[in-house]
Amino acid sequence: MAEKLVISISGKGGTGKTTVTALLLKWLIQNTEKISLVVDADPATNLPDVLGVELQRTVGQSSKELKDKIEAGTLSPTLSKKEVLEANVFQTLVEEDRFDLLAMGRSEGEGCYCFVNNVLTRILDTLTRNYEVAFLDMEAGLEHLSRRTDRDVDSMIIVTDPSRMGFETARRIKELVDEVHIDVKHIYLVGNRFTPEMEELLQKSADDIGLEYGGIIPLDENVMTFNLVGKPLLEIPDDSPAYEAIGKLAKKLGLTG
Amino acid sequence: MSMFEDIPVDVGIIYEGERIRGSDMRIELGGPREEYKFELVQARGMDEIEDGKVIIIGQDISDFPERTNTPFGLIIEVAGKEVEKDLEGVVERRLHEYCNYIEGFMHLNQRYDIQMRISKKSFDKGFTSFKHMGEVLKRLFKSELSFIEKIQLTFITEPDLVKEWYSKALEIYEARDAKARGMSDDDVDVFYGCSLCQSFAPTHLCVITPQRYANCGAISWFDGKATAKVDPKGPVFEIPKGEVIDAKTGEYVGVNKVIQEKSLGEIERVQLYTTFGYPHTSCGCFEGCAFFIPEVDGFGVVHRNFKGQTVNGLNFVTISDLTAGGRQVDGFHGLSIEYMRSLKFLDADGGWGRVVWMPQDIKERIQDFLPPEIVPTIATESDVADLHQLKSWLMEKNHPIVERWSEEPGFAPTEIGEITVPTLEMPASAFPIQGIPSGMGFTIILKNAKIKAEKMIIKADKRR
Repeated sequence: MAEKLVISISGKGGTGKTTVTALLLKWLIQNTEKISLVVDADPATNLPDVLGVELQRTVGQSSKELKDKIEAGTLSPTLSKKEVLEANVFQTLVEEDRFDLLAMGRSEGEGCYCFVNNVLTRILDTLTRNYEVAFLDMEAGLEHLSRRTDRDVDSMIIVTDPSRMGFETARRIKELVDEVHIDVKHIYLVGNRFTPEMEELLQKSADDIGLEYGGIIPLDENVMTFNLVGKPLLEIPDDSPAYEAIGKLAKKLGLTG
Repeated sequence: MSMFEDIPVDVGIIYEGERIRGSDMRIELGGPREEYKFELVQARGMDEIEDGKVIIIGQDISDFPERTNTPFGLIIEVAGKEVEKDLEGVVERRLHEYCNYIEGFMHLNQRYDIQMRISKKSFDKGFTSFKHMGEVLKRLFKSELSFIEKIQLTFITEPDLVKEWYSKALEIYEARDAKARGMSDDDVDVFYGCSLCQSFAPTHLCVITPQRYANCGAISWFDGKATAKVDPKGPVFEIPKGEVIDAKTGEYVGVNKVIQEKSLGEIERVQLYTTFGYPHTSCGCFEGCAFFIPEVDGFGVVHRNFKGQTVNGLNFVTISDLTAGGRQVDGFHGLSIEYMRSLKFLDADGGWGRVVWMPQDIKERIQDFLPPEIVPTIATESDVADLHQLKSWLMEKNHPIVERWSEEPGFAPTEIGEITVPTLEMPASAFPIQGIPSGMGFTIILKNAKIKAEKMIIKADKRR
C-alpha cells in the first residue's frame, strides 16, 4: 500500500488556514494522482464553501442525532451504536472525484459524549487510513492539541499572518505539542500574506520558536477576490502568486509523486 | 486463504476497515439512496433448507450499470441440531465482519440500515455475481460457527420482493428487541465495566448490566459486549459477576472485586439497585439523577435538560454537584434515562412506588415503561411548586408512598414550620468551638434522626 500522509493545518484565527488547505488540495489534484480526505475540523465549517462543495450534514450533527436516539430510547437495544455511528459518519462524506470532504461541525448538545467521542476517534482513524493523503483543517483554538486530535499527524503546518499574535500563537502551539507529547515528524511555520522583505523575519522567528521554516505565501489579489465573492479557491488561476508559492510547501511536505 | 482459492478476490481480516469511495464503486447495495434494504438470519429445520444453496432473485451484480444503487435484501437461513431462534441475532451480527473480509467490499451498519459497496477493481477481477459473495459467507459462517450445519443464502434485488420482505424483517427485528429488553441480569454471567469517565472521576466505574445501562445512557450491555470484544484491554471490559451476595440490592462478588481494583481501593462494595448504603457511584455526566426527599420519604428524579427548580428547590447543577465525583452519597444517584425504563430501577428502595416527582418532559418520555397505576400519582413541575403542595398532591392522588408513611412509626410528614429545641444543659469539657467560652462543652448525638434544617445555629448561653 502507498505511503500515507496526514497533514494538519493550524494557527491563529483568520491567518488563512482554510486558504492554505484549499491551495494544497488544488496543487495535489493538479500535480499528482493522489486521492485525499479533507477534514474540516473547524466548528465554523468554512471549508466546503471555499472548496465549492455542497455539505449535507456534519459529524457533530450525526453524533447529536445518535445521542438523541439514545435518550429517546428509540434505538434497538441490541444494535451496535458504533456501527450506526460509523455508517452515519460515512454518509456525511461529500464524495468528489479526487477528494472526499468530512466536516466535523460543532459538538452539539449537552450531556456525556465520552463514549460517542471514544467511538468516533476509532471511526475516523479507520476512515483516514483509506486515503493516501489527509488534510486536517484545524480549529483556531488549541483544544484540538490537548484532546490529541493531532496524534497521528505526520506534518503539522502552523499558519501565521504578519502579526505578533500570529507568532505567539505559533509559539504556544509548539509548546503544547511538546507538553502533550504529540509525536509529529515535522512542524512548519508558514507565513500567509507576507511580503518578500518579511521572509527573513519569519525564518528567524521559526528558528526562535523551534519550528521548521515552511515558506511564505504572498498577499494575493485573486485569493482575496475569490474569497470575497465566494468563488471556490480550487478554480483560482494557476499563475496566482499564492498558488505558485504553495508548490514549494507541497514539495517540502512530500506530496509529490 | 486457501479456503477461497476459487474466489476471484482475496478474503481476509486485513480488508476490514476498507472504504469504497463513490468514484471507485461499481455498485451500491442498499444505502441512504434506497428505502428498502435488509439483512436477516432465520433459523430453519434441517429439512427445510438445502445446504450451500445460493439463490438470486432479481438482477445480479453484473446486470447493473456502473455506479448505480439498488434495493437489496439478504436472507440467510441456517439449520443445525443446536440452532435455535435465539441464535439468529448472534449469527446476523457476524455478517458485518465477514462481508468486510472481502477485498473491495464495504459493509456498513446493520439490519434495515445496511449500505454495501463493491469496488470497480474487485468487479474487474471477476467478483461479478452474488454467487461469489454467497460462497464466501457460507464458508466463513460454517467454519467460524460450528453449530451451523446447513446454510442457504438468498440475495434479492427484485424491488417488489425486497419491499415485501422488508416489512416482514422489521417485524422480526421488533420481536427480537422486545425479547432483549426483557433480558434480566440473572440471565447473564458477565457484566461490563466502563472506566471512560475516570479522567473526571478517578474512583468511578460504571457497571453495565442488561438491566442497568451506563450512567451516560450510551452503553448498553450489548454495546459493552461489542466494545470489549474489539478491545478487551480498553476502557470497556468484562466483569464476571461471580457469586450473588444479595439479589435484592444487586451485590455480586465479582463486581465488588473489580470495583476495589479500579477505584484503587476507594470503593469496596457496590449494590446496583439502591441509592442507600453502597450505591453505584456517579461520574459527572449522568443523564439524570434520583434524589431522596426526606420530607415525603420518596424520590425525585431529574434529568440534565431540566432547567427549572426541582420540587425541593434545587436545580440539576446543584443536585449533580452533590452526586458526582465517584463517591457513594446516600440518597443521590446518577443514572441514565434508559435505566428508568428498567425493571430494576431503584428496585431495592421500592422502585417506581417510591418516586414522587419528576419533570413533565421526562415523565412523558418514559411513562409507557412505568407501572400504569403509578403514572398519574407522580407529580411534575406543572402540578406542584413545593413540598407542601407535593404532600397534598400525594395524598390526594393516593400515591403508594402515603401508605408507607403510616407504616413507619414515628414518621409523620406533618407540617413543621419551626421547632424550638429546649435549652440543653451542656455537660462540661467536650471539644472547643470557636465563640463558645471554654468550660461550656456539649455533646450532640442524633440517632435514627431524619432532620432537614435550613440552618443550624448553636448559641452560647449568656448566663454563665
